[in-house]
Amino acid sequence: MLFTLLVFAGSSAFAQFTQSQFVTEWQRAKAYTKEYLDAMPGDGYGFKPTPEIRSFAQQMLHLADANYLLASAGSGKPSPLGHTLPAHNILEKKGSQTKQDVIKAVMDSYDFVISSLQGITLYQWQETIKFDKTDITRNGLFGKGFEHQTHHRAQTTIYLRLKGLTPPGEKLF
Amino acid sequence: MFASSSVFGQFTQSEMVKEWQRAKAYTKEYLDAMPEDGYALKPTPGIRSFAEQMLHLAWTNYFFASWAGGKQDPYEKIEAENIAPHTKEATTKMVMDSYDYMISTLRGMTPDQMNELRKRGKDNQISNANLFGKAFEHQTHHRGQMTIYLRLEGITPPGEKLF
Repeated sequence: MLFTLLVFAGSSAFAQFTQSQFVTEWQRAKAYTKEYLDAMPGDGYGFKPTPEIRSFAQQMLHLADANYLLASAGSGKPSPLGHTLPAHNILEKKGSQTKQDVIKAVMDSYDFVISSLQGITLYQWQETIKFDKTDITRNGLFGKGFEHQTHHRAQTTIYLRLKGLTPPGEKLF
Repeated sequence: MFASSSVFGQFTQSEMVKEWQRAKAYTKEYLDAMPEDGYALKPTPGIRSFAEQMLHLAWTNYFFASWAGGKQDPYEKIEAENIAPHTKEATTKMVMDSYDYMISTLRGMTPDQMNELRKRGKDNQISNANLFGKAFEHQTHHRGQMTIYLRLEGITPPGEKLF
C-alpha cells in the first residue's frame, strides 16, 4: 500500500497545472475571448474570410459548443443545453448570431467549464474515462478543451485583421 | 497536504511529452500544406507572413524551453523572423528543431525542477511546469491563426488534431 502510494506520487507530482491553477487559466481564457468578442463590431459577426468557412459568430459558437461538450464529458455533469458527442453543434447551428447573444452564449459556456472544473473531486480529477474512442483522464479532457478554445479564438484573430481591426494583444498570463 | 494541492493536476510530465509530440506532428501538417509561394503570404500588410508566424512560433518554443529548462537560449539575441530563411524547407527545419528542443528539455526535467518557481517580471513567480503550459498555448494560438492563411490561399487546412 505504502509502496503503491509512493510510486504514484513519484510519477505524478509534477503536473502541468493543478486543479486550482487550471481554474485560473480558464478565467483568463474567458477574459481573453471576451476581448475578441468586444473587438468585433456587430456587423462583423457574419463575416467569413472565405465563403466556405465559419463566420466570426459561428467560430465563437462552435467554441462555446465544444466548451460545453468537453466540460460535460470531463466532469460527468450534463450540459444544460443538452450537448452530447453525437449532437454538440447546438449553438452553432441554432443559436442567435447577434453580437449580444453570442457574447452571452460564449461567456455562459466558460462559466459552465469553470463551475464543472471547480466541482470535480480529487478522485474524479485523475480518473480515466472514455471519450469517443480515446481513454483519457478527466483533467486531460479539460486540457483538450483548453487547447480547442485557444485554437478557434486564434483563428478569429485574422478575421479581425481582415476587418481592419487590431486584435487584442496576446494574453498569455 | 502536498498531495492534495499538487498531485492531481492537468497532464503529468509523460502526458505533456505526448501532447508536444502531437503538437509537433500537427504543426508539420500546416508546414506541409502551405505551398512554397504561400510562405510569404500576409492576410493584411501590417502582420506576419506565414513564414514569420512559423518562425515566431519556433523562436518562442526555444524561449520558453530555455526559460523553464534553465538553459542558454541559442536564439536569444536574434529577432524571431531572422532565425532562418523564409523558404519552406528552412522554415520547416527550424520549426521541427524547436519542437525537438522543447521535448528534450521537458524529458530532462526532474520533479523538483518542474515544481521550481521562476521569477516572472518584477513581482510574479511561476513554476516551470506552468511555463510549459503557457508555451503550449502559445504555439496553439499561432498555428490556429495560420488556419486562415491556408484558407486565403485556397487550401483546406489540416483537420483539427486534438487527440
